[in-house]
Amino acid sequence: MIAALVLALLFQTRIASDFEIEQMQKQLASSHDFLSQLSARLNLGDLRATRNENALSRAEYAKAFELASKQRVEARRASNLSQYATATAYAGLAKAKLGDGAQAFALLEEATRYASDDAKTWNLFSTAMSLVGRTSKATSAARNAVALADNQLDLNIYRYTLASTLGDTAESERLLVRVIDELQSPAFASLRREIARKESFEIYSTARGEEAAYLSLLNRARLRLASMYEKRGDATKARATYESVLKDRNDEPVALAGIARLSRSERDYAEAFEANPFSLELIRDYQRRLPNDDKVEGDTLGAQVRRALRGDARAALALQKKYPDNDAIRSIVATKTDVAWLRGDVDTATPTPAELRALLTHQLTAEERRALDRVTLTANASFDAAASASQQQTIFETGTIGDVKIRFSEPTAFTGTFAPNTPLRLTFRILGAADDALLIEPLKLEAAR
Amino acid sequence: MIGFLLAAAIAVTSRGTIVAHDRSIELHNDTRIVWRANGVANPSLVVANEQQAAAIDPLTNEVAITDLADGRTTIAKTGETPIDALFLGRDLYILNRDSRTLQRGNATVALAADPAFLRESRGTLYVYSRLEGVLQEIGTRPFAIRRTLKIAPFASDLQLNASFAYLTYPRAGKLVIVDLAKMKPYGEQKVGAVPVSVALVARKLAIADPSAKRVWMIEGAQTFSQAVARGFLRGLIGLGLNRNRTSQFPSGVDRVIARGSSWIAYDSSTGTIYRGGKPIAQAVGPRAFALTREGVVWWDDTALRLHKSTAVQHD
Repeated sequence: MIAALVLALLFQTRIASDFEIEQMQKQLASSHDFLSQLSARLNLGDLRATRNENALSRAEYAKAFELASKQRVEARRASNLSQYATATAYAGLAKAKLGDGAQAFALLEEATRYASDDAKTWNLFSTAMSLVGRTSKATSAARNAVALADNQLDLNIYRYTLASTLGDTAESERLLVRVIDELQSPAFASLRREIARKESFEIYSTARGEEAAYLSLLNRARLRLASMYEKRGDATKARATYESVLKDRNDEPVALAGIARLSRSERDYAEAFEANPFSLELIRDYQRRLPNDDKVEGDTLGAQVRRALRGDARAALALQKKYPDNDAIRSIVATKTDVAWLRGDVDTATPTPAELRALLTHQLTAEERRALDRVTLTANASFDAAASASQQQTIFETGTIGDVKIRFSEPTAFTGTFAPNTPLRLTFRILGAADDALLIEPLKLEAAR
Repeated sequence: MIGFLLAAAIAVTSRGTIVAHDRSIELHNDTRIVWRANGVANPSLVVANEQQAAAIDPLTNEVAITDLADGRTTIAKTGETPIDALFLGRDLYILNRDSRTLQRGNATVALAADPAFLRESRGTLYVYSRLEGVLQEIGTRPFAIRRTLKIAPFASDLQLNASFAYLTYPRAGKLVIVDLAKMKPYGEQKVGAVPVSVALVARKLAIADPSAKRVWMIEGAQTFSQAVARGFLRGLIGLGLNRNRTSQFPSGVDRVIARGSSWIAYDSSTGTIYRGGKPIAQAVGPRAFALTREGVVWWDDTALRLHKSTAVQHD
């Protein structure tokens, strides 16, 4: 039974190491029982999520849900009602990870009809409700789990879950301190020896076995406590707690990101980006407070991402080519363009439709906006028929350049007779983007050459 | 496949059938919709009296209260996680599990941990709380707890008649009886393998056992309570839904509902309603069917249609 060992991921991200993904893929290939398959799918989904591989992550959660759904029907057919309750609870958790709060709640309600005496089921209920933002329900379910816990490790897992639902409160802090203290107490000495003997270090959200549960719980409890100290402005305690995490695992990405936030040192950011270059939280933090203008050295993935974040559009596009399904990279690219005439060193240009299309979604930097205000562009445009004008004048308001919609701020009369839906050479400036069209200031219209 | 779990709820009233689904609450009379009003997003239960119906949403903590005459509806906030409700006279009572309260309008009564079932007997309310194993008797005037009985925790269902409370315990495989007048345990009985749901069928008890794929009933003219009072049970006899009593359900039924002497069984893993050992509807929500005087009605959430059948079991 793995229910007891499910840890809330709430508001914490952790890099999915290649090693852990590989371990879960091995588990999928070698262990075909329900719980092995299910925990592998859930862990892979969570690991992919920390890397912002969101499509892959959702695919894993969907597979976990399919597995659990199949298992609940089979368990009922076999009259195995404990297994039915477990499978139903996990189906609910998978639905919560997929963002379907209503189905998650319904499934977990069904699970508690059969297993209201089971702390693990309430713990899953709590985790699922937290994931879908139903914090009060999550707190209540976690309190039930704590009340029903029947061993010390499980009790501390449920305390951690409860603390996760309570936000930045004194009760939450007390619970986390207690969890950490108890895990470090002599009561767990033999488990710690076993972990040391096996050199175990892996951290999973759905941990199987006491050793993995112990390591994962200690890691998560310390990270949550450190984050709480950090939010309160207690940098000393926060740093000490993050560092305690790094003593057990020196590439822990959430701890490294926390230390970088506290120090604002490029060196610390470099380490954090090495641990998880795809953390959106880290990326946004780095974008908000770029430490300095020093050149980023090295060719590691973390260095490439930092270079992209410092405005190197070519680095951003190279990353996109290499990681096309990564949403973190996609978000970086969305803030960069490879439009040469936005670099500020030209006064006139002939834009391609692709360059114009990019402007529809691109957020301009201050430098790019200045360049855009200065540059005069020329392109072949085709206009929609508009109101008739006097002889020797043509009025247009909307049209396209390639497949990019353009519009003027008002119907505009051009001297000369021009046919609609025919390529015409337009000289213009870009004023902005509205809805799905570029807002254009026309300077000159002439027959296409 | 499991879309039916929290999609719709219905209740039968003297004016027709109330259907709550997808932020809508409707009064159906035969095949006609008499009125439709705004409802709650995730209706899990509809209750009604002669004047009003109420649909509760345990996820968003809302209740839609509707006048049966014209469909005029108000949506109000409840406590955290309303999971049961009933009308007593004109008053609506809502059981809020996660705020551990029983609510009447703005008034609340604090309850024990994990309150799960709200029932009424002879004008008095009873709430069973699973985690603490507590049955609480609550008066309405004043609105307050009168008596509390500590019994076994983790019952899966509770039904009352005028004199007794009946609770099923799936893990222990037993039925526990409480004397409501004395507010004391009355007796208990092993029932099948995993008794999950209980219903009062006229003077008998029907108990759904999904492990045995049966509904267990007490045969004979004696009521269960009388049998217990005499210190013996004539026995609990497992019945398939066929008259010849030889068939088993193809899947484990885990809910049984009754009206007078008629009853039907339901499997919540597949959303199947059973009568006579055979399914009469599938993919139906656990609260999206009800017994009427003529038979059974259920809501088809895919076709958005109310169905009727006169096929019910009588004992």
